[in-house]
Amino acid sequence: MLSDAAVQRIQEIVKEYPNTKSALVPALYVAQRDAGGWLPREAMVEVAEELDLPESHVYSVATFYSMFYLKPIGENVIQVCTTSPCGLRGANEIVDCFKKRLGVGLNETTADGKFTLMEVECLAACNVAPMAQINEDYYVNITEERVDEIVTMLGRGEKPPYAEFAQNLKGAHPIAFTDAELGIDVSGIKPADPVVKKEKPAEAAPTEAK
Amino acid sequence: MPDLVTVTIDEQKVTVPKGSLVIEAATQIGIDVPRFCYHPKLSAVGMCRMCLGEVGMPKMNPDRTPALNEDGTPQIAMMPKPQTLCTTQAAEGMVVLSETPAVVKMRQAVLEFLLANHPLDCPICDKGGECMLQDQTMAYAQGHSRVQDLYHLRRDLDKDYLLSEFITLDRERCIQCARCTRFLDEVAQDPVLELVARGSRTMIDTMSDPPVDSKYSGNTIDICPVGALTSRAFRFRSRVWEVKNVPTVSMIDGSGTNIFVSQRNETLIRVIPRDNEAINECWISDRDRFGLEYIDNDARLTYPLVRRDGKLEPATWDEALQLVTDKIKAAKEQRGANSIGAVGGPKLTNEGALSMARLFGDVVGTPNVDAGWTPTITTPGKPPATFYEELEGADVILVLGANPNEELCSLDLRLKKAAFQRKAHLINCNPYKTPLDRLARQSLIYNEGSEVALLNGLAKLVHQSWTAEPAQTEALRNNVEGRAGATAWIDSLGPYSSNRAAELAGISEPDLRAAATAIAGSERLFLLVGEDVSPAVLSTLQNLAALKGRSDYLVVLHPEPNAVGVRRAGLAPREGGLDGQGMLDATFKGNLKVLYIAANNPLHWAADYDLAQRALQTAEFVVVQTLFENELTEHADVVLPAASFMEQDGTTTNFHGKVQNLKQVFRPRERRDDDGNTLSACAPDWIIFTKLAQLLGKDFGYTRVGDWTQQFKALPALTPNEVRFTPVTYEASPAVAPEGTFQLLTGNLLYDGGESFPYCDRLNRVVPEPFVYINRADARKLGIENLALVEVKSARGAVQVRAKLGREVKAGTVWMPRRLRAVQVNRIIEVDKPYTAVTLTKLQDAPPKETLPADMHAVGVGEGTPVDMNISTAVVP
Repeated sequence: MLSDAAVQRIQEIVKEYPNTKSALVPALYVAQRDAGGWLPREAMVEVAEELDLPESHVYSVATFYSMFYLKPIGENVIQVCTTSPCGLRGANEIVDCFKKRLGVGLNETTADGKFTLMEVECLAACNVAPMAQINEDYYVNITEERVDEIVTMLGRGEKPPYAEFAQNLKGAHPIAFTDAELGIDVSGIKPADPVVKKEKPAEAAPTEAK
Repeated sequence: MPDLVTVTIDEQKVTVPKGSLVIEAATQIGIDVPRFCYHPKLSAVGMCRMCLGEVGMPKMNPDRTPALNEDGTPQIAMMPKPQTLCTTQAAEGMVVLSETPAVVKMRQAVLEFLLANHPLDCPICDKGGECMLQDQTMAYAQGHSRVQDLYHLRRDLDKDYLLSEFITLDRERCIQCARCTRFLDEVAQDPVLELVARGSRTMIDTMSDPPVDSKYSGNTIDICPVGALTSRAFRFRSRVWEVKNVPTVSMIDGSGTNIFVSQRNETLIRVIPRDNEAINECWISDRDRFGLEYIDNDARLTYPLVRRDGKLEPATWDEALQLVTDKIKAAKEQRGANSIGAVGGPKLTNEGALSMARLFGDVVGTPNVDAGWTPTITTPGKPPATFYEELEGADVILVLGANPNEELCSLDLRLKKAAFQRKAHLINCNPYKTPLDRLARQSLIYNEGSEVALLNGLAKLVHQSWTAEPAQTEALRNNVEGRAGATAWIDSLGPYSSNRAAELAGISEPDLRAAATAIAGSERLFLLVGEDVSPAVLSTLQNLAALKGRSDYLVVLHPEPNAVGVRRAGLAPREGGLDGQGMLDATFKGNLKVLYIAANNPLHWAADYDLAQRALQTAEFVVVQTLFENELTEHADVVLPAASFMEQDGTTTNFHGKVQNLKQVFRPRERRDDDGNTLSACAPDWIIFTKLAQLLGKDFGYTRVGDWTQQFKALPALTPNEVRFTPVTYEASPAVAPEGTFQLLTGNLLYDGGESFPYCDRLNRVVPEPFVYINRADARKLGIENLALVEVKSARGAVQVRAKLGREVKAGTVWMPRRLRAVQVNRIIEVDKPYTAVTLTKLQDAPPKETLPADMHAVGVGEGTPVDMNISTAVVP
């Protein structure tokens, strides 16, 4: 089921951790990418075997996190945060917008297999609410107009300019592993924008004592 | 003496060992702190919040002296927030208030939340009447719930989510206390249930194959504090207050598990554990729980059968017993008592076995008496009375040639506890991998048949290390020097250098050395050995035990219920008599004419199926005393219906020699006419044997089972055997299978589908298809994939089974269960050779993989939620 490259990558990951339990989440990432974007039962069983963990434990972790998918998903996964701060800033309207634009409900995939819409809990970007994670990028300060733009561009196979939106997102972090790191063929796929490491601001000069 | 601390709980002072939890201290003085997630045998997690209480500590002055009130009592500083008493450790001077108005109010609030999504369907819930949630709701909850105002937010969840063949989950009732997952994790060491998903969607689920793959899964039903996990066998069959719980002992395996049998109107409703810290704690195996249904089955024999004109026909007891008497008398007159053989079985009670031994040994006068068909070893001497307590305190435990997980469930749990909680150094020696290897500090997978070399190598290393280390000379002086046979024994160890022993056993030399180091330095060494190893192996183990000076710490593990008791009762060959195997031989050769078989089945248990079958065909007269008609009764001339252990009083002995009382649960099973009049009934074994003795002219004068019990208890007491050394040499070279063949290893399987299984509906469904374990590398060479149908062929015969690939066996060996449904290894095993070589041929590809139903495991993100849980869209009045 899992490709040799994936198994090899998992074994490499294991070496970076004190025990195999700690390597489970990154290993599941590898398995998910390898198995076509979601985690079939067999993939979880194989990860359990590779890491020598009980299958039920792997299952427990895979169901805990919203970034692991237990059913086939669309090419693009749209996860809109609807936790309180985003909710106050109109996230539910954004969700409705996506629903209307895509013609699907929550946790559903469009008929052409291009989009899956999901609602998730806080993604730690409340300062730029409402926001959504689309595939592996954060799209922030989403407005109803943006929804249309995002869907249209994704539908054409283009990447909407997320970086522009992300300007307000201080310290945005990419996910743990890139395709190249996972040893998966990335030819034909545009590499992700490099992360700009922000210089630590110099210590403010001590203010005069009052 | 551990450090003690004194705490005050609700104005009562109690002194407990340091590190005890407050809830334990409260239990000690009879204060029942309400709880759901806390269980004394599991780790404390504080998940349910029900045991909240107010806790205070003595106030300290800045100079670290206790602050005192004006009257001299210490000032108490209460903690600002309530604490969960199940996770708070008792500390000196601590003050706990467990029933203040504030605490009661908190409990009300906790219950309000726990009940927010609870269906309150107690009237149809199996748990009703013994439910902690029900009890505590009655005690603490207010009649009204504020959460009910949000009733439209209630989630409709699965009411009958089938977790396994035994257990169903009602997701609406589950309060996520994690008792079940912790039990399987910590006690059973089979982490097959887990909390999945998160937040309000959290539920328990399994992903093992088969689902909830544990021999102890049924215990989760007992410890579930609500009605979430219920037994599929018990479901909707009775209210718990309508049954009568009769305390007895399970005679399903050698553990001697204490159980309650719930019966109503002479019907078996369910089996639940009965606490006994000395045997099974509060756990029983699924085999005990679901495997006793056979007793209440309409297929049970209720009248004797007598063969007339080649056909078995119903007869009266008088008729049948008279016929047996006549035949025994005739055989004795014509050919002497030696032409009669009697074989009992480990399923007899002590009284049944004793009356059988007296009948055949004293009244009939034949020396041919035995309790089984293959020679097995027995514990030399008497194990300690507090066996498990001492086992748990052992620092090194060596298990050899046994797989408790498939043989002795109570012991299995204790070994897991010793290794996991008490950190005992477990050395597991087997020719193949067993589940215990996961917990074993060392697992020595040796070559079948090389046990003596392995153990001699260990003993030599231990002896050497003591000789080399001056600090250990005391042990040497105390345990070895001057002991019987010590010098000869030490000399006999000469050839077993660590390198040679390791090579003969097929293990690595450092492993052997590490095991020897552990044994040499151990304070308390337990040696547990399977009953199938040879007497020579037992002798080497005795030497090892003698080396440590504790001969009573060597215990033989008998998987069968009363194996120790029947032998003690005298079911063993007398002077010059034949054993079970010998009797089959003699019957086949025509020397033995009458064969009396009670509670046993040679076709099932004999080492050689063909010999057993031929012997039964040749025998002139076969009496079978049994519960069911089966393939054995087809060979019988008289079949006597016996009562099961639940239908009689008596006693039974477990594998470590503990004698326990059996209590009658049901009347012996009867056949009645339409008006309800009893026509005939089965009878306890001791009554049958006592009556036969009467008919043969000897009246024991025993009319009650207690008379036999008294006789049994009057038998010479078992004594610890003396510490002595016997040189044992290992002669055979290790078995190496010829090119192209594999060495056939066999072992026990708990769910083997034999004897009583067809009459246990649920348990019968988890019996696996016949299989053979093949090493992955071997299978690849032969082109056999997992689950392919293969033919396992020896010089004697062949069987067709499914291949299971894995790391359970070493390359060059294959493993098959000794008995599994129709496929019996005793049809292909070569009894007269040291091992059986088999070839493997693939017959058929693996069947296509069954795809799981789409709705299974449909939790998590992929779930289509029928109810919108988004709180911000809900209308709050």
